[in-house]
Amino acid sequence: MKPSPKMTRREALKVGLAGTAGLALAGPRGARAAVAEAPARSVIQIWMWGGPAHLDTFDPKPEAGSDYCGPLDKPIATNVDGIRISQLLPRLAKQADKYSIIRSMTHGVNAHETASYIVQTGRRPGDVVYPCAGAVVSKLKGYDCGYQGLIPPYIVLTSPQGRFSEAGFLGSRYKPFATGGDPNRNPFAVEGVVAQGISAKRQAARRSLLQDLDTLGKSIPGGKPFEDFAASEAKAYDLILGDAGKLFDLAEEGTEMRERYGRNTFGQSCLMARRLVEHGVPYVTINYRGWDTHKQHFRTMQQKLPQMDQGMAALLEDLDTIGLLDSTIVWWSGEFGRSPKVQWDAPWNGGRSHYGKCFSAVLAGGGFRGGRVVGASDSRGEEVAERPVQPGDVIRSMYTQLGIDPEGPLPNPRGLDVRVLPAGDGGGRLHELV
Amino acid sequence: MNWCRALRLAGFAVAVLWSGLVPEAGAVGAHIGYLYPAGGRKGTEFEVTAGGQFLQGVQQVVVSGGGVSVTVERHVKPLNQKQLNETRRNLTFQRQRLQAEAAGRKPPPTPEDLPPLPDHPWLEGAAGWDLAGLEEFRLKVFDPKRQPNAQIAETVTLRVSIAADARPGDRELRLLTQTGLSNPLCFHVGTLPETLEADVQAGAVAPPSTLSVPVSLNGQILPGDVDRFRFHARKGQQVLVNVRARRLIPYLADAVPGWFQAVVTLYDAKGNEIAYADDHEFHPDPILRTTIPETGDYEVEIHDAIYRGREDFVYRIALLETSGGRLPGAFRPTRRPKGFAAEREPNDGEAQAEPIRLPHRVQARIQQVGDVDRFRFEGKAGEEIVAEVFARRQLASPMDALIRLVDEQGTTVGWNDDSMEKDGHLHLGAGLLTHHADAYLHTSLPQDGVYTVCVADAQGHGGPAYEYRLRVTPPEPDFALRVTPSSLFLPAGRTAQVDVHVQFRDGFREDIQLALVDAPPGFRLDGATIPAGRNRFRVTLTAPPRKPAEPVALRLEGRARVLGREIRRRAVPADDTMQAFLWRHLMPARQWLVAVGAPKGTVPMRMGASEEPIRIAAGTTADIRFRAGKNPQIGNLEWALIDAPAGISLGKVRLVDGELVLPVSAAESGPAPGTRENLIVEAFRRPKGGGARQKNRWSLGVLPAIPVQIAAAGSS
Repeated sequence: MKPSPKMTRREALKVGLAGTAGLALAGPRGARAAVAEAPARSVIQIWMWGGPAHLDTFDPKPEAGSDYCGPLDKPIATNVDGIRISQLLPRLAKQADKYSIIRSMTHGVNAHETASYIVQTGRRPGDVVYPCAGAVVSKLKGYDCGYQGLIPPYIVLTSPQGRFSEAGFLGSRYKPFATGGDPNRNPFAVEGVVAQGISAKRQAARRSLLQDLDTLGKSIPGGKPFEDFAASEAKAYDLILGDAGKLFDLAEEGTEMRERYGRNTFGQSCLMARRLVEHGVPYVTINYRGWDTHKQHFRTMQQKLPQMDQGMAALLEDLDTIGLLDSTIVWWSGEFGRSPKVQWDAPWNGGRSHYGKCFSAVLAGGGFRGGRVVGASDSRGEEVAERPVQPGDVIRSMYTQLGIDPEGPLPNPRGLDVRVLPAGDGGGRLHELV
Repeated sequence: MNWCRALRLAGFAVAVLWSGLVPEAGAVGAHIGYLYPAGGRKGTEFEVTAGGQFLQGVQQVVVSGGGVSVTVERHVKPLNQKQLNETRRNLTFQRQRLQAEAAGRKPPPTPEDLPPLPDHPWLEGAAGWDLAGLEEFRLKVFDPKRQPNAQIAETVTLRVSIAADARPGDRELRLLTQTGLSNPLCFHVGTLPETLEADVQAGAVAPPSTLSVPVSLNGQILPGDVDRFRFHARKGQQVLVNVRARRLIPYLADAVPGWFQAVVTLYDAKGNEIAYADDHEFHPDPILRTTIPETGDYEVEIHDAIYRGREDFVYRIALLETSGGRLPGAFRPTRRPKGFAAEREPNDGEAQAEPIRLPHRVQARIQQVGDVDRFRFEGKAGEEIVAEVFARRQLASPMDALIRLVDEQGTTVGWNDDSMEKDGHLHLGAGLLTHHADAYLHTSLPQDGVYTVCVADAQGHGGPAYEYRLRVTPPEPDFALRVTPSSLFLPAGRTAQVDVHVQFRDGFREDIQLALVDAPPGFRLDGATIPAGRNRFRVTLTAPPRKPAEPVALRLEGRARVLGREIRRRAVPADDTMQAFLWRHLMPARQWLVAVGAPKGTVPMRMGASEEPIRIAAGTTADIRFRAGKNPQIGNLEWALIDAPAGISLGKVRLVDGELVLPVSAAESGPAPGTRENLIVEAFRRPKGGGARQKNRWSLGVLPAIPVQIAAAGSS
């Protein structure tokens, strides 16, 4: 029997509601008013860093022949009639009713930086650097809008993108908190929160020593800068020594649960992401490296797809079990797909290159319908055959589900008169999924 | 409706092979990624290492130009996974033992199951390696930070002999294996004494000996590597350091930027920098010229601009004494060709525009910074004109041309900065040039009146070297051809697919008829008519039934009728090479070289076919028939269309009364009526027996191209 998440559906609903009200790990000021009624409260973004092959994941094309599908020519049926996915994703095949596949994603850009920007901001590059979806959610669902959790509202597991400034013109306040470390290790050494080899007891002793040594602060009581500093310090230590620090302790989940997600960085990141949204964090990005498979593509697929399958399937199943899938969007995408035709020649020797003309994305939860396929690629996965979907359409749909008006104002420190997403850009919501 | 037609045309021999099979996926040929050293001095004999892949059975080396003979000494494949595991275990133990000895501890006992070192050339003498040697090997083979580079992991040791009377210059070197002819790489025949780097390890270690100028310096840059060479020079001596790196290997597919970007620095004996060079004009290979300040020893240093490196980061430096003058590769003032007028200055002010009558050709110069040359002509409404600058392409001029066409009111009618001819990410015909600086404008005049062609440097530069040639003419439709790949290998009687790329000029839109020129008997081209408007077309070449003694350099020509006259253009052999993961370039080669292998158990089969395309009406199926001969196994083969247009499909192939029937269908939603295409059909065989082997099928090669034309639905 598979282990169940410790939180029951009832508990989850309570926590979810508390999270909505900004109560999760709330500070002394307590809750603020809930935001607009919206099905989704959180996003878990699985960022397939480097660009996953659409033909080897959610848009298999066995009929195109081995020059296109290589050895992965036996896609499997899912629990939804008519939907086939890669043979290396058997667990996700059993969860297909929970997610929908967009097989007609397109932006036409084959460069990592530009494509990452387009997919994560929903905009084409221009004079101004716009924030990515996580930063927008952080701005409109984070500390400025009632969220009072100690855990920052926008978390990245584990390394920041680095391809572009995630916060854009919003500024560093809305950048993600990148955990660093590796959740598959014990302890999960979260940057600035959990230090490798230092126990909580020792951390507390350090704090005490620090206070004893703070002779300057003690000598000037009532000084505003020192009070602010003390408050920040207290908050930081609450993060380190309080409930927030425990949140990152995956040992609490037990061995069996951790095994379910897979004992690897991605699997444990999925588990960590689940814990974070359980505690009301509105946006979590899992930066999943290793999909830029110019060389040794199929060998890499054999290694990585089972990991992805296990971690993502467990995440979907558990979110559903505890009742959080309805309020949590799971968004799976990379910056582009990979060339449908396999590059057998040197130096690639069976690799796939960048491909922005046609690729796949997956959406689950947060009010999005599951078990659907939006759009279609052609018989070789090279062209969009039906219903082209731009990255902005996906982000627009997610914002709507989150209760963020896509065409509402986006306040910013530069005083620019900009909307959350541009109006009339030719895009639209994914009406098929809502 | 099944639409059958018996083909009644004269047949030709087709050979389907029963041996020499290759797996369907990964069916790629011999490839070489570097030569080291990439050249040598004439009148000498020396060793060269070629790094590449799929070089099993290398038997012959083909060098263009004559005077260079090569024998193959040894082919080494990298350690396989089993050997790697055994080597890792063995050498790890060896390192532990040496570390213990160095620390004065008791060495660990030898494990009973310690595997012996594999018998492999990489491990010659490994039993006696010290800790430094073990670390060097570990970094080379086991360092996880080093990316796998299977494309250059095999090495072939060559013995090269250059005749004393060999013509100096660049040659093409290809390896011929049992199953393929490799791509060409540049091999330079020089006249200077040669030196190889003493130590290819990272670290700036100059060879202990001091070299004399002139000398040719050779090396390979590995990750982080910096190579230095010491030489002696006199005060006042002018030395020239001419680096060949990108010119040897123009594009690296899996590196950013997409070539070895060499930089050179000259130091004096105290380590003071005397001179430095990164690029030379618009060429990435640096050329450094400086006057020696004091008599003494100097060092020339070379590394990659961002300290990348790999075995294919090969360089070759000519270190010379020079008396000044023009630097190699720089702009050279040229004589004005026949039919080109001289520029009449001043023509830079609007009122000073030089009056011309079309067609007009002129050789001119952007004299100084900010100069704009103007040429005025009268035109009629609807008249098409072409203004084109040749500067970088023909004259090695540094000019970055900008063309603007303005009317009498000064309104811009059209303009162009850079003219790129591309097919997706594939640049057609540019070769080494990646900045397409020459401008081209083809436009229609909006009304009767006086127009001015303004020519300037887009970057505002100017000077004596900023020379250019301009034509302002009515359209002169023409075309240029490239054929890829430049190396072909096919067993006698067998057929191979080649791609022909077309560059259209001035609105050229005619069919092009391809033909082999002066080819030895037996070579045959099929599907040889390129439909108008196609910039890439697949044709097939079939080898003669008997193997020629040596590889054959073929010549392909395209012929078209334009404005009532026939023009003929040679198809320049080229290779489709990738730069930095994305951009591709057709790199011209000197020869279109075809190596024909021995015939291998062929089964003759004859196809009824025609130069006229077979018509297939949309929504119907046409049966294309082959005379299959008597071999019953033909019926057991699998057949597939290769890269057919969407909507064209091949049905179940059947053997009927000694004829092979290939049913080809055109969907109603398929290619538009009138579309002409060459269908390429590949034959496969599955191995006998079940199990895992049945997953693979083996390619037997392709049939000659089958020209088809899509007809409108319902047409006969």
